[in-house]
Order: sequence, then C-alpha cells, then structure tokens
Amino acid sequence: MWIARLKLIMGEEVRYISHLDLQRAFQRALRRAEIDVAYSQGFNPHPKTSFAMALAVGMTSEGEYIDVELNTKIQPEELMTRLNNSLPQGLQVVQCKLRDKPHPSLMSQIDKAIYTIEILTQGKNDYLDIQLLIEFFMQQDEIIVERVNKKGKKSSKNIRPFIDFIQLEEVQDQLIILKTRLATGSKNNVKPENMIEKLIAFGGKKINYEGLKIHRIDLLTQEGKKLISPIENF
Amino acid sequence: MKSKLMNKILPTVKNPIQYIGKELNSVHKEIKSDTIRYAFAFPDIYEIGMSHLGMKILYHLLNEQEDIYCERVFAPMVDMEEKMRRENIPLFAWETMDAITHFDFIGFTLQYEMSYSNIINMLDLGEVPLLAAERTKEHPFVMVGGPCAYNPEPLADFVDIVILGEAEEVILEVMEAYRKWKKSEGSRKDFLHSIASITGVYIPAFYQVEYDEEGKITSFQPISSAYPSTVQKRIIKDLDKTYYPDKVVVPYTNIVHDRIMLELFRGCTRGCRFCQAGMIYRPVREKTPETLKSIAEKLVKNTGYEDISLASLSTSDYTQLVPLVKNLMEEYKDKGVGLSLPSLRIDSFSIKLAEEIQKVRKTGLTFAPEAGTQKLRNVINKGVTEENLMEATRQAFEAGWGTIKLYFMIGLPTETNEDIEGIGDLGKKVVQQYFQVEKEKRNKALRVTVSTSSFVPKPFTPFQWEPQNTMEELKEKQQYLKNIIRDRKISYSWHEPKISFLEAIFARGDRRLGKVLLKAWEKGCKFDGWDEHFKFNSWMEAFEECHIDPSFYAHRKREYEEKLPWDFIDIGVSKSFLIREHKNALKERVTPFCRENCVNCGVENFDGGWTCYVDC
Repeated sequence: MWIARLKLIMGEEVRYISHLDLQRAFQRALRRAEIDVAYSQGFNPHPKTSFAMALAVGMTSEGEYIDVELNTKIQPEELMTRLNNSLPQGLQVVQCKLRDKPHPSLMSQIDKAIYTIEILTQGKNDYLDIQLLIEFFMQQDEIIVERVNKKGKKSSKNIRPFIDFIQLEEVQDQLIILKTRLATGSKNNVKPENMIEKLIAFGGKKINYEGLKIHRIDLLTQEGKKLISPIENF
Repeated sequence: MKSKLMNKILPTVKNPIQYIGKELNSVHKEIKSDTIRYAFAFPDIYEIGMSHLGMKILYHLLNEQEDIYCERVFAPMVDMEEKMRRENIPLFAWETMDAITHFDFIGFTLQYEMSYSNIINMLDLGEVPLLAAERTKEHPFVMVGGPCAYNPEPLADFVDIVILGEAEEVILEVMEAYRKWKKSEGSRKDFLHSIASITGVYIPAFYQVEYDEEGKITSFQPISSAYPSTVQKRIIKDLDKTYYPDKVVVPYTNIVHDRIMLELFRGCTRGCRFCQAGMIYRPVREKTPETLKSIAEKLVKNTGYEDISLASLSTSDYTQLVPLVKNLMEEYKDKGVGLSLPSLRIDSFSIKLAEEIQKVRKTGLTFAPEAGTQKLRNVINKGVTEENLMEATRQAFEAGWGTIKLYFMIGLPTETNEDIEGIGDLGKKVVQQYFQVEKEKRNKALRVTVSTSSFVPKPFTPFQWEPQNTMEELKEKQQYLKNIIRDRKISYSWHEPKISFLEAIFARGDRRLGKVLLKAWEKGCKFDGWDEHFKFNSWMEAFEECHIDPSFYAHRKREYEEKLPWDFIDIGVSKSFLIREHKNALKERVTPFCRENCVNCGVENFDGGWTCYVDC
C-alpha cells in the first residue's frame, strides 16, 4: 500500500465548488490520469482519497491537502505531472510526497489555518482607523459566536482564544486586506467568516461592508512548539 | 458585470458553481471579428440541461468549427434570476458570461412543452425582443429544434428558425449561409430567405394560416412559392460517420444524468402507438460496436466518468448488445467504470444482462408495462404480456433486486375501470412473485413503486387524433387506483393532471397559442414542469383573456380530414400509416415490430429512398 500526500491550489474557477463536488472532481481526475488508485469495496466503488479540511464554498486556497491510496508505486513528480494534466481549470497540485506506511490521517493532524481576507467596502477606508479597530477587537477577552445546531438548539462559544493574530495587510479605496491565523480542525475550529462578522459588528459603522473574499494560505500542524505544513514531516 | 456576478451575486445564491462555466472540457476561445457566436440554450436549469445528449453533441460540433464559438445557456434558478433582475444583469452565456443579446444565434432545444414559458422568460432576461417580428439586425436569430419542434406552431411568433430532425448536418449548412449573408450586408429577411429551402429548415414567418369559425385550420401556406409547402425533417444516414464528441463537459455539481452517454442507435423498431419518439426518430440506424468501443474509450479517458450509460430508445433491441456489453465490461471492470442500461425490455434476456452489468454497480430496476391489461396493451401496441413481466420480476428477485419500479399510463384511448384495476393487480402480482422466491435468495427489503403518468396525445403518433381525458376524469382514475393499492409494500405516485392538460394543449396547439403563452408569462408563469412553480390559475386566466378555449386543443376528438397544425411537416412516416395504426388500435389489433415484419410506415420511401436494415 502506498499513500501519496498532495498539496493543492484551488483558484477562482472552483471557488464555488462544494466539498463533495471537489472530491468527485478529484477522483475523476485520478481516473483520467490513469493513476493506479486503490478502490473502495461495495456497490459503488470509488477511489480511496481523503481530504484534510473542507474548504467552504466561496473560498479559494493555496494550501489544501489530500491523501490518495495507491496500489503501485509511482514517482511523486510523475504523479504530479499526470494529475496536473488532468485536473480542471483552477485546480493544481503543487507538492507531492509518497510513503509506504500508514500515517496519522490528514484530518486529525490539522490544528491551524492561515487566511487572507479581502473585505470589499463601499466608500473609503482609513488605514489607522482600521488598524485601531483590529487592536481593540483583539483586546477583548471574549468574542462570542452564537451557533445553531441541526436540531435548532442554540449554543455560544468564545472564539477569542482561537484567534492567534489579525494583521492588517493593506487598505485601499474600497478594499481592506487582512491576514489571520485561526484554530482549525476537529478540536477547535473558528470559521473566518464568523470572525470577520464579529470584527465588522465590533466596528459599528467603521467598515461599510459589501462582500468578502477569503483565501486560505495554508493548513498547519502543531508539532511541539512549531507549526508546520502537514506535508513537511510526511 | 463579471466581477459583480462573481463577488456579489454568486456568494448569495443556491449552488453557485453551476453558473461558472469553467468545467472540464468546456470550450474557451478567442473572439475575433469574424467569430459567429452561438448560444445553445436549454430552457431549464443547469442540472437538467447538462444531462441532455443533443446539447453535448451540438456544442462540441459547433466548437470544432474554427470561426464558431458555441456557449451554453440555461435558465437561472429562481433565486439567481431574482438577483440578476435586481442588479440589472442580463442573461449571459456560461463560458464568457457575456450577455446573449450580442450573440448571432440563440438556439433553444425543445424537450418538453412545459418549458415554453421559460423560453419567453430567458429571451426577456436576455434583453432580446420576444417577438421575431420585432427583432432588428442588432439582435440574434432565435432558433429551435428538438422533439417538440415537430409541432413548432405555438412558438411561431417567437422564433426565427425551426430545425426539423437531426441537426448535425443542417446546422452547419445554416452557419455556412450565415457567413455568406454577413458579408453581403443583407437584411434579416434576406438571411432567412437564403436558408428557407434547406431541407430541415422551417421559417414560421414565411407561412400563413387561416381558420374557420370553429377555430379549425382551413389553409396553411407559404407566403411565396419560393418556399416549400412541405418541410421535410433531416436525418443522418450513417451514424458511424457522423460527428460524435470524444469529450464532453464534466460538471462539478450533480446533474440528473451524470455519466457517459453512449448512443447505440437512433429510432425504434417497436412502434408503441402513444410514443412520439418512436415515430419521429425513424428509421432505425445503428452504430457498429467498433465505433462504440472507440468512442467509449476516448470518453472514459477524457472525462474520468465512473459510469457509461448505453443510451437509445430501447437498448435491448440493439442487435450487437451482448458482445458489446461483454467487451465493455471486460475493458472497464478494473478501472471502476460501470455500465448502465436505462431502457430495458421486460424479458428474461434483459434481466440476465442487467444482472451481468450490475456486478459493478447495483441500482433499481424499472419496467414499463404502460397498461394494466392485455387488451389495453394491444391497443397501444406494447408487445409485452403479463407472463413476460412475471418471469422478469421473478428472475430479478432471485438475483437479489428489491426495488422495482413499474411505469403505467392512465387515460389511454379505450381505457375502462378494468384497465385501471389491472394496474393495481399487476402491482400485487409482482409483490406475490417476491414472496414465492426463496428467502435466502431474495433481497430483504421489497419496494415496488407503481407510477402513472397521464396520456398526452402527441403529434405524429397514431393517437394524435385522440382526445385527452379531462382533469376530473384523470383525478378520478388516480383516486380509484389509490384506493385499490392498499399494500404497504407498494407505493403509488402520479402526475399532476393540470400539468398533463397543459402539455396536451401545447403539444397539439397552433399559432394562436402564442398570445396565451405571452400572457401567461406576463402573469409570472415559468418553470411550469415544476410542481412548486406551476401557476395553473394564471394559465387559465391567460386563456380566458385571450378568448381561447383550452379544451379545443386537449379534449376534442379530431377527424382524419381535419388539417392539423403540423401537417406541413414530413417526418417520413406517412399519415396513412398513422391512420391505419389508429384503426388497428381501436380494433385491439397488434402490429408486428419492424424487425419481424415491415409494416410500410413510409420511411423507406423517405429522402431519396431509405433502405431499412430490417428486410422490407
């Protein structure tokens, strides 16, 4: 048994793809590339793949990770080239490693995610104004996000401990660009859109919000005190 | 507009990925001054339109021509349309997101009558004048084709060009004429004039109709002798040599038929008397297994699909089916690619085949006995007996199937209560059949679905003269059947009679329905085929305000002598054959299938003498 771990870019063209659709698109690309993938058993056999963390509809990314189970060994470079020739516009493999022993599942390894967030606004924004807003926002002890579960039950969670930082990258006429690192994964998870909603609400009328573009820069694994990419120690 | 769509609108609508147009194998071209821009429009949502084989063929065929850029257009979903109208975004073509009003052609495919209001809505959303007469040189030509184009008259006011029959060749001839016309600086009418005599082309504006006081047609004539009085449909003679795409667009989002469609043959040898497809697609023409194998190979390679569907009107009638299936199974079983047979006959042969195929993937089985009694099955010429069905279901249960669907029609000519009871009986007998199979063999869960649609008389069928049941009659019959089926193992589903009524009106309608269509659209009618959007009362108001009696079209028995709105179209099958078949139906007399005995339907005299591969 061989496992390939791939790092994938998801561009504008596939920004609105759902996670399920992405899985299927990827499996079809594997078939087009004629990669000798292991298939699941049962009535509807499908290639064995597993993704790190679903990317929400509307986001782009340059740090998605996928594990693929293979029947035969293949050179990582070759796998990468063949897949890239088969993937649809907007999807591209940028890194690939292969190993022959099982490894902790991707999903269990993810602890953090880094994003850039573009806030589209109406009217001008002032750099210092926004900078101050972020500082005050981060000085809060509690940032409470209300959630409603599938049964309609409400719960609330303080997300402040799970926001590592928010950096103001750029302010233009109708655009604010932020960079942020948030807890992500099965243990603690902060959705970037929730964090931004809170920030905007906190600012009152400071940000005349019109839309969002969220881009995931990378997913990270906590290894001791270091944060590394899940493909680094693979 | 593009960035507004991408950043402001798409994040807020349902399933936004359907609008992006950057799917695998979608075509992206540079637009030059001589590029002919063609918008292939499907008057329903992406999920349905993308499943349509004709679109796949013509999209890639047109795009193979260097100077033609064909893009796809679908009806946006209701939430999307609302936002587009609010933000003043005109209907755009999927690949470039450019407004369709700047295109040279908009070609709609007419798959079902209930999509007509969507056509009006899409033209409006696309800022194209609704009436053909109001379009100028700045506007696109609106073209229609597909099965409903065999009676294009209800749409006559809205369309410039109708394509009758298989479009692979004729569409390129029209494009060639367009190239010439574009250089000539002629008028819109000049172009239409230049294509009016191409076989398979009908220009509604070049014909005029007169009616008597009752509303029956007294004359239907071209406005000039330059135009043919009969328009012949087009057929492709050699399916092995005709264009078939070796790649197709692979959607991201789920669509109705998300698989490779391998078209085995066109036409049907069976001759069911209600079936329009069985008549208009004659003659039967098969592809050779060699062609099919090579197409399948390329399509698997270029799409990565996990399923190949062997498509045709009656797949078990393909003469080389067994060797083909064996070969495809052998080739693809290790690659995780399965086969499916969508239209099976009710017999042992088909079950064995299905069993063989389902070793890869197992789905439910569907049978279409169509009618509940042998008498009525003889009337409709459905060559199936109760024994066939019992034997087939027994084998299916033995092979481990648990889910069986049975399709029937209600409201067929000569139908009595006994025939309705027959439907319930067949359902029960299928359940009994299950219990007769050894426990070890059979599936643990049994689920029999009985589904009835309502008979809609269609043009170019032996039943084209027959009245449709009234909505009350249909409702009564459905209720009656509901009461008969009390077994909890059987579930019963039926079609909304109001929709079938409207379908019947437009299926056999004439030009005067154009104004009703317009009126109904003004009242907000669209997506009429969808129960949740269908506004029956608005439709009835539209009829009333236009002083048109819908029953005239749906519920009236027509005489053989009456001039029918589609009589000017020659589909190859002769009217005398249809009359003969209609008479046979009423006498419950069965007509043999083409393969057993040629019944001289007329198609062998068609188009310079067609030789059926079935001995005549």
